[in-house]
Amino acid sequence: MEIKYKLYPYPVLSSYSNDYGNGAFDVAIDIVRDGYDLRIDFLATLTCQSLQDCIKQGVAKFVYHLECAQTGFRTVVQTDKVSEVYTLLNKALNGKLQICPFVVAVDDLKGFTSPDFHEDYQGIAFDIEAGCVMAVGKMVTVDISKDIDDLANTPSIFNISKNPDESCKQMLVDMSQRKIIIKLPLSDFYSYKALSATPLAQPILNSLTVVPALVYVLEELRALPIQERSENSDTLWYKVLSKALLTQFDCDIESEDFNNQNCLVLAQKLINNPVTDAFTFLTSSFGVAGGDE
Amino acid sequence: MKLQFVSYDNIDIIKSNLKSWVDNFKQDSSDWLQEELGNALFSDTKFAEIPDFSLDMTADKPFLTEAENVKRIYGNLRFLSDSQASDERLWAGLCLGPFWDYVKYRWDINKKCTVGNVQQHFFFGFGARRSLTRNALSRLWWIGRLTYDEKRSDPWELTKFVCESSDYIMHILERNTSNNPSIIRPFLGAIIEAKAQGLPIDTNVVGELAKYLNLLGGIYILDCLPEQRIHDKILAKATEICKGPDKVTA
Repeated sequence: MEIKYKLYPYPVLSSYSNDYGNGAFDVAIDIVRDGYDLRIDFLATLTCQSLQDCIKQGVAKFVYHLECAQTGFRTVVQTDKVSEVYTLLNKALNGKLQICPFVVAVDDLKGFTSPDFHEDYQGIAFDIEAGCVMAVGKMVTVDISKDIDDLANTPSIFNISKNPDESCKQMLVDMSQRKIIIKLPLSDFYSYKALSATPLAQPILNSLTVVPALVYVLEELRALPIQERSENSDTLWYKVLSKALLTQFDCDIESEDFNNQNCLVLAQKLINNPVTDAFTFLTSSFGVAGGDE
Repeated sequence: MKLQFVSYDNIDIIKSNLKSWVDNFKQDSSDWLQEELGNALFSDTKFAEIPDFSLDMTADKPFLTEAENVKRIYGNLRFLSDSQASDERLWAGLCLGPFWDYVKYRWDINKKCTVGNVQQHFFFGFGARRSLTRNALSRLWWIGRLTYDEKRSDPWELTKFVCESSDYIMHILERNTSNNPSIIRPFLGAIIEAKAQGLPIDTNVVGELAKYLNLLGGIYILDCLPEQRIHDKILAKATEICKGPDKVTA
């Protein structure tokens, strides 16, 4: 969606018209990288009492229309707060993202009027339907640059293998090798192998194995004195992990800052939050409904 | 089946040489491309192996296989993210690889072997959005993505409807309004209901309704409207178009 300088059959607060003699609507939009995803911080400034009242009464809302034409991503964020945060998943976006701020009626308004209207409209009341725009902000376009190729096969830093010790019934992690070795009991390993042929099951497998293994590794690193952490720097996994943390999360493993990180959250973000996709797959009735031929 | 893609470097070379190579697309496979390029045509995706599946190529009129093939492509590749599914490299890989015969069958490439047809059906030949519904395979995936509705007793009901006519696909799915499920689902649901009520829904009526939805998008932020309201407005308009405004009752 692009904001066009169009006319409405009722007064609309905008920077390009004089429908309102007083008042302004402006939104500061900050895009912050949140791991592989994007966090958008909205901060609205609305200086029109009548529109503020509509929002307080719940008949209008701040609405942020987000659209990425290339991936077909289109959604609206609706809020009655001047400050709002929204996280966009990297996998939903590619190319340009357009963000359009509005104040929109979410209920039918009978006889809306404002002392801030242009003098030509003073004393006139308008019926405004739900879904109609009441104020328009400035559109922001963001270029989504992908630091990771989400199609190509990139080598993993994990190696899932079977544990030859049959007496061990738990998953174990060995971080002393080139890759992080996740050792599974024999039967679990074969289950893993069978499921790994199904791409849709990958988030489940990642949630069951890679995320807890990574939590373990991150916590082990955190427990080390800072100067000892770099002792792992000869391993492939440490090089890849420390670089990803530094470039995507502004987090230096070999610093005090890393001691304050939440390893559980960080591990999920590093694996692109697989838990939600896992639950979505498990609760989906897709296969049952005849999705597979 | 290996899920592979074609690198942008290879796509660029193929597209820039299409005038010279276009007749080769009548061949039975893309093996000739491998020789022309002198390097590997395909690269592995992160989904190296997926279960084998094929597409229906049994109908005399290829368009009649559209709904079934949407089910097969979307059903088998539903794990793709929207970002991956809007990537030309993936679809070019499938069109030039395992589904070479399908692209030729569906778009009658042997008889209509032009640069334009090859470019738009094997690759992306338009802007990012429109290309998604013109490439032979991404079209099938995106029809599924935009119309599969798990909440319906038949989740493919909307899919089957839009696949009744290629005009429906153009009118409905090539508009940005179709990107939000909370708009496209009530829109299609209303047309299906109008049809069930006996209204003579055809491509002209659907075209008019698509224009009307576009018009509504100029008045309302459609994404903020309750689905029921979109449904009611479209149903009322369908009735008006089919019966004339005088016969419409609120």
